[in-house]
Amino acid sequence: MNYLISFGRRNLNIIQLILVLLILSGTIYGMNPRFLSAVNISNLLGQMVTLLIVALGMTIIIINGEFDISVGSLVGLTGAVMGWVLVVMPAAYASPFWEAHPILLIVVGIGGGLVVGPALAILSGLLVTQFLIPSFIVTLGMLMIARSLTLVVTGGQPIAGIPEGLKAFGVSRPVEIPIPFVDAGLRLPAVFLVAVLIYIAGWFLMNRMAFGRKVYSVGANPTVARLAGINTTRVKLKCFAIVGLCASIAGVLNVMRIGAVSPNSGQGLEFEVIAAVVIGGTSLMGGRGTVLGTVLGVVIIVLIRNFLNLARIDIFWQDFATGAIIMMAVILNALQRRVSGASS
Amino acid sequence: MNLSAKMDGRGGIGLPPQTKTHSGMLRAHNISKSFGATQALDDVSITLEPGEIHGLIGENGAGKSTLVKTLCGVYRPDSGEIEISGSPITGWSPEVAIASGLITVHQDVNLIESMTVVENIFLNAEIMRGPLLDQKAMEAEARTLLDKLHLEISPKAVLGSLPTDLRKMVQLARAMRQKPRVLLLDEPTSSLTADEVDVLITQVKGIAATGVSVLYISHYLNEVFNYTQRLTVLRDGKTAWQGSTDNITMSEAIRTMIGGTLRTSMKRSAENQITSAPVLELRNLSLGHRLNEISFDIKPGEILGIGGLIGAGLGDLARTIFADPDYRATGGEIVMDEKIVQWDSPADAMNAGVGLVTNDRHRTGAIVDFSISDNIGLPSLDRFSSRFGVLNSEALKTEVESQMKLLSVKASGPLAALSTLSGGNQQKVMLAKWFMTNPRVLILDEPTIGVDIGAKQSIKDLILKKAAEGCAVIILTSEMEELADIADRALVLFRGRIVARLDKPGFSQEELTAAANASFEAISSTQTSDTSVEMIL
Repeated sequence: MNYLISFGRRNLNIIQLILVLLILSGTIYGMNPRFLSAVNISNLLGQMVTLLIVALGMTIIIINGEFDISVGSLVGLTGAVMGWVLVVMPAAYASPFWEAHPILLIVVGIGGGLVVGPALAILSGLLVTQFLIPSFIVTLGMLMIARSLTLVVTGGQPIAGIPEGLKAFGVSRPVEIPIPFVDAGLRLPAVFLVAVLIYIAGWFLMNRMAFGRKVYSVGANPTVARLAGINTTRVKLKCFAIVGLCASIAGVLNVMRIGAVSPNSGQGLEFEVIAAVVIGGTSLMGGRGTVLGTVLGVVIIVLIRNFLNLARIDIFWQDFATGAIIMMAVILNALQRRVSGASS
Repeated sequence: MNLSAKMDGRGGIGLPPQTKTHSGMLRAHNISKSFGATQALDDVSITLEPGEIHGLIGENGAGKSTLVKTLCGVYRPDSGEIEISGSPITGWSPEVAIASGLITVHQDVNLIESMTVVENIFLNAEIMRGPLLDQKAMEAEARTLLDKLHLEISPKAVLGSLPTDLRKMVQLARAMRQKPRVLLLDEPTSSLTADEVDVLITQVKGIAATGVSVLYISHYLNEVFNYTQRLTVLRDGKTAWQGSTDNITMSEAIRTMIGGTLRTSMKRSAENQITSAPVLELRNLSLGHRLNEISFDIKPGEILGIGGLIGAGLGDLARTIFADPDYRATGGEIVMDEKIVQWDSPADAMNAGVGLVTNDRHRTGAIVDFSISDNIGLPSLDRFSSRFGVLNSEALKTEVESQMKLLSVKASGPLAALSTLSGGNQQKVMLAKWFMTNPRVLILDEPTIGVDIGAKQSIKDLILKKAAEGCAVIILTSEMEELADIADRALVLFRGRIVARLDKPGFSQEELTAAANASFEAISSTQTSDTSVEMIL
C-alpha cells in the first residue's frame, strides 16, 4: 500500500494525463461511437507519427534546457532532399548507373534525408554553445533558413513519383491486434511501429544510460553538471543532433506515408510539438520531464484535434481551443509544483 | 519581504512621528532572533548616537548578518524593540526601515547591471516633472554625488560595464541620495582597493559629521580600529563586548571574537608528518586581480588549510584549481605528480583525480530537486556505465547506499529528493559524491557552511578519515576554528594574496584570525614559541 502511494506520488503527472485521456476518449466515444472503431484508431495512429517522433527529440532537448523550434522546417527540408535525390536528380542527370541500382538510389535518398536534420541542428547547437546565444533565436533563424532551402530544393512545387516500394511501406499496416468479438482487428501502421521502436530507444537513452542522467543534470543546473566533470557542451550538441535526427526520421516517414514531397510539409509543426511536450509535463526551465509524459501529451493533442472535428467546431475556433487547453495544462503543472513545493 | 509586516496583522505602517531634531539615532533593545533550534541573536542591544561610527565585528556565524537584517527590516525579531529617533518602530519591514531613514548598503552589490548609474541611483525614487522623468535633474544630482565620492564615471555609464569596486561606490552614492539618518554598512570595503577604501572612509566620516549614525560591519579589523568610535563584538549571537574602541586592543578584540576557551584540537600528532613527494603543487597561480601568485604544495594524506575572509578569494582559488572555464587562470601553473597539467575543464581535473566540493550547495554544489542517488552519482556516471553508455543502476545504487552509510546520511533512502534533507545531510551528500570518485586531491570549499554543530563535528571526522586513507585534502574556509582543529598546515589569504604560512602544527585560531584580518601587530603578539609564521606582504 505504501509502495502504491509513493508510486502514485512519483507518477502523479502520468496518472493525471491518463485520466485526462480516458475522459477525452469517453467524451468523443459518447459523441460518435465510430471513434473507437479499429479503422479510426488505426488512422489516428498513422497520423500522429510525425508529431510523436519530433516530440521525442523536443522532449530531450527541452529537458536539456535548450529549444529547437526549427523542427518543422527540418522535417520539410528532409523530405525535399529525399525527393530531390529520388526523383529530381535521376530525371535531370539521367545516368545508367542509377537505373541499374534503384536500391542504392533509395538508400542514398533516405540517407541524405537523415543527414540533413542532424547537420543543421548541430550547426544551431554550435552557435548556441560557442557564442552563448539563446537557442530560441538561433533556431528561429534556422527555421527560416531551412524552410527557404526547402522551397529552393523543391522549386516550390510538390514532388511526385516517389518509388512505389517506399509508398507501399508508408501505407502498410503489417501487424493486426485481434479485438475480442469484432471481426476486424486493430491494424498497426508500419510507420507507427517505427515510432514505437524509436520511443523504446528514447526511453532507454533517457532512463537507462549515463547520457540521460547527464541531459537531466545539465538542464537542471549546468554549473553543477560542469563541476561534476560533465562536458556540458558535448551533451548539448548531442541533444541537438538527436532532435535533428528525430525531425529527419519524421520527415522520411512522412514522405513514405503521403507518397509525395510537399514544400510546405512540417510548417507550423513546432507549435504542436512544444504543446505536446508541455502538456506531457516537461518543464520549459529544463531538468524535468519524461518520455512517457510526451507520448501521452501527443495522444491528447491528437484526440483534441479529433474531438474538435467530430464536434464540428468551426475550423477558425479550433486553434483557440487547443491554445486554451495548453494554457490550462501549464497552469495545472505550475499549481502542482507550488503545492508539492510547499509540502516538502 | 514585507511579509513580516503583513503577518503581524496590524497592517498599518508604524512610522515614527517626525521629531524636531533631524539627527539620526538608533536604539535596539534586547533583540533576540532564532531560526529553528539555532539562537542567532540572544538579547543583543545596540545604541547608535548621532554622528557616531559604530563598529560591529565577530566571527562568521556570530550573528552580524542576522543583526543587520533585523535592523533593516528583513527579519522580524522574536523579541526586543527598535527605535529610531526615540520613536518605536512597529510593523517592521524593509519599506518601513527605508521610510524611517534607515538605509543599508548590503554586502552584495544589489543594483541592476543593465541600467545606467543614474537610473540605479534613482531607482524607485525618480525625480519627476509632472508625469515624466526629469532626466536633467537626476543627472545633475547624480553628478554631484559622484563628485563627492571622487568618482570620475559618467552618470550615463551602464553599471554592468563598471568594475565591482566602482559598483560598490555607486551603491554608496545611492545610499547617500536616500538621505539616511542611520546608515548600515555591511562589509563595504571587501571588494575595494586601498585608495577606494580611503575615499569611502572619508565620505562615511563626512556623512557621520552631519549627524548621521553609522553602523560599520567589517572583517577588516584595521579599518574598524582606525575609524570607529565605539565597538560591539558579537560572539554566538550574544554581545561579547561593547564600549569605546579606545578601550580595547586588537588582540583583545580577536580573543573576544573567538572566545577565551580553546577547544581540544583534533589534529594528528607531529610524528604523522608526511614525507612523500607532493601530489599537487601550485606555482604562482593568478586569476586576474582576484588571485595573486598563489604557490603551495600538498602531499598525499595531508590536510592543508587555507583561511581567509570574504573578499580573500577562497572560492576563486578552488574553482581556478578545478579548471572551471569561468575561472581560467591568467598566470602560473598547476603541477600534479611532478608534471605540469593542461586542464581545460573540470572534467580533466576530475579525471586526474581531483574533486571539488563547492561552497554553495544550492547554486553550484547539488541539484536539490534530484534524488540523493542522482546527486551522488553525477561525477561517476561514466565509471558505472558499460562501453556503450548503459548505466549499471544496481551497482551504482549499491555504491551510493554504502557511501550514505559510511557518511551516516540521514534520509528515507537513496531515492529521497535532496531538498527533503537537512543542511548537514545535504553537505554530507556533497562529500559522498566526491568520496565515491576516490580522489587523490579533494578540495573542500567551506565544507561546513550552514550546518549545525553536530554535523560539523562528523564532517571534520570524515575529512580526517579521508586524509588518513592517503587523500590530500585542501580545506578553504573562513572558519578559523575548523582549520586550527584539523589542518596540518595552513595558509591565510587576504585580498587574493597569501599573507601568512603556518607550516608547523600547533598554530592557533588566534593566529589565523589575526592574519586573515591582516592584523600583523596582533599576530606577532599572539604568536606562540613553537610555531613559525612566515609573513609576506
